[in-house]
Amino acid sequence: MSEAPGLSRRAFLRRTLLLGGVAAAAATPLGLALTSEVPAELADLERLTDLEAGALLAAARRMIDGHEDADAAASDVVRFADGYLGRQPAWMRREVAGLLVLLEVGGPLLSGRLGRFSGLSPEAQDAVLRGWAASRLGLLRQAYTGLKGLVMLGAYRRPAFLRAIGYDGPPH
Amino acid sequence: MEVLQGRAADPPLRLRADAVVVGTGAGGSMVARELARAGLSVVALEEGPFSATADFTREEGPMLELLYQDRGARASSDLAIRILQGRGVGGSTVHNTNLCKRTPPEILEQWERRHGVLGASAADMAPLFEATERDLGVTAIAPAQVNRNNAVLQRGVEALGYRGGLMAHNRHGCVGSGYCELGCPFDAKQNALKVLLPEAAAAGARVVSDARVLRVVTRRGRATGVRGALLDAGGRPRGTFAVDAPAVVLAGSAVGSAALHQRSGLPDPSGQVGRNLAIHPGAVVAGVFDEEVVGWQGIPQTYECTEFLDFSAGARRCVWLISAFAHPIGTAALVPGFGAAHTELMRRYRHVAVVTAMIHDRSVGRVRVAGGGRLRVDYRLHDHDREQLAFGLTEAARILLAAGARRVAVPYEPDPLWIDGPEQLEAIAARGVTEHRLGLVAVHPMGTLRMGADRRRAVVDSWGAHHAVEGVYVADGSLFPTSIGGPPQVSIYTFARRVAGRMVETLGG
Repeated sequence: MSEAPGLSRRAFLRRTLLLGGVAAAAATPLGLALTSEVPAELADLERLTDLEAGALLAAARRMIDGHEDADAAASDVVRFADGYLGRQPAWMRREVAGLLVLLEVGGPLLSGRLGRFSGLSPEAQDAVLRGWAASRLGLLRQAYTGLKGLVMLGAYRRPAFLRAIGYDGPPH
Repeated sequence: MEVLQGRAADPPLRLRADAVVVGTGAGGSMVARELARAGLSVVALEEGPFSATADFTREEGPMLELLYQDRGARASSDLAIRILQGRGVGGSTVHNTNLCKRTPPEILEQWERRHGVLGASAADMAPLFEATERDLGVTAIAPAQVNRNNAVLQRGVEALGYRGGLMAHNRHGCVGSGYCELGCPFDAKQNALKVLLPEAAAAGARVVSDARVLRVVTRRGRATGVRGALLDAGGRPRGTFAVDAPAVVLAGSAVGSAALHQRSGLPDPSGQVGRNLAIHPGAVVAGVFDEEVVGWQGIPQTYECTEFLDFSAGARRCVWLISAFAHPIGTAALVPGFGAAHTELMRRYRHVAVVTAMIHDRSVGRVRVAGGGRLRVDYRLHDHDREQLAFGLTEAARILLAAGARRVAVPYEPDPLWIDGPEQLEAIAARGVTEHRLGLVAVHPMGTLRMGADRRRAVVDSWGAHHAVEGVYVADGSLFPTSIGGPPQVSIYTFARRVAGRMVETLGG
């Protein structure tokens, strides 16, 4: 089975921004608002927009499902990502922003799916993420890899997660 | 060791020296020390911060951001291969796993025969390797230092009758904390930060951190120094610096040095600058055991399987199998899938042993500076290397099964391939290695400013002197004309020693 290779980072950024922008432009006539609801504790983010934060929050909730405090952890992931992206160069912030916009409102372009990602049922969200992971399009597999890496970077800093997997740190 | 930290220096900073060394890892530290000991004035520049032992907190997230390029996010341009490189005084020697191997004699012979590298035969290099090993206090790893992850590998290798054995390392006073890759808080690594740079400073070298070199300056075809930016604690420019020196040594890794060469607009008559990138890509398999392995405790890598490590010209197999246990963040990123299934796999963390297959790659990548000055690392696996990786994963899985694993997971996304017995191993080759379907990691970039006598094919001569720019030298892994199929630190230290020796002869000391 031949598969499309991944794109260079520059092309990935261009494509996600382009597709994200087109998706956003198409979203309004389709009744998809360009803002997403985020919990009050995430109202003061410095870099992620509400739309980006909403997408990341929804993705994080699905990706770390199975942990006892997954919802609270997902909010922490978003807050961590907001700070982490502030420490990274501007091109990386734009890359992640494009990825999150594509995730949130790219359904009509990518799969014909209507509705924002954050508004889908958990099962439908899982289907979107699995679809990205298994896609023949290198762009979407790359996007999944980047998204998952960001979520896990934020999630597995939490002491509760480390306890849950039996990671007890170094011997003293 | 006194370090002038760019975050605290008053800009603009201007220094003068006989030689300026860009990068303070294995290569840069060795050159700085040797030149300083020879009586030359030396400034050694490091883009990253200076970290003391007390700064190594063992917390994975903060240490990834502190010690690694791009805060641990560096990757190939298509994001398929994570590229882990050090950033900070001491470079990658601060986070490496301290494995000490010489450049294989077969590789040295190939460099001489195919790439015109003169005076670097195994016999030529032997005394230099010995000197490096004395500098670093290299010793054989003792059986008592083998942790459970490595013991699993050893058990499986011996059960199959494969070749393997304990390796050598540069640690003294190691307590087996298992945090080598996050900086050693017990000061046990005999590395650039602990040994070479303090000796360089004692001999008069000045070490400057938080100093990003933006370009090498030349006049009438010869080097006159470097210009750059001093950085604050967040890595943001806060002023400028200049170092005036008739000798400039590029030692910022095969990625950093090639990028600096291009940003500086230095002549490239061979057309090889940034090309010939080799990275030793690796992938992992994980075995699930009834007993606890607790793989993050103890020295990460002590035992190797060399059954398939053949460096002879035309060898069909050149795959290195060693243990590769990651801390939670690294593991979570590699464990396939997400959600409840992923969480369930992560809950087996204490019972998992991990082996990596790392290949002596034939694939050739490229380091480029793209529009806007952005770094780009292009690397795509050659079909031969895909097959090698799949083969390596198959044998790693076979070893884990032979060691008693209940089942073995090959971490394909989004669903792992489970192997429950040797009869199922052929499924790995059938599935193959495809970007973004299987996590790939590389830690040894090499080759982008390769050495050789022929200026039409090499960037620098056999002793690291630039073919086209007088006064520019290279002293890091970018020298190597090919992959070396194993941990490069001893090779980099030693070839840098060789470069420094020729510089002393040329510059006088």
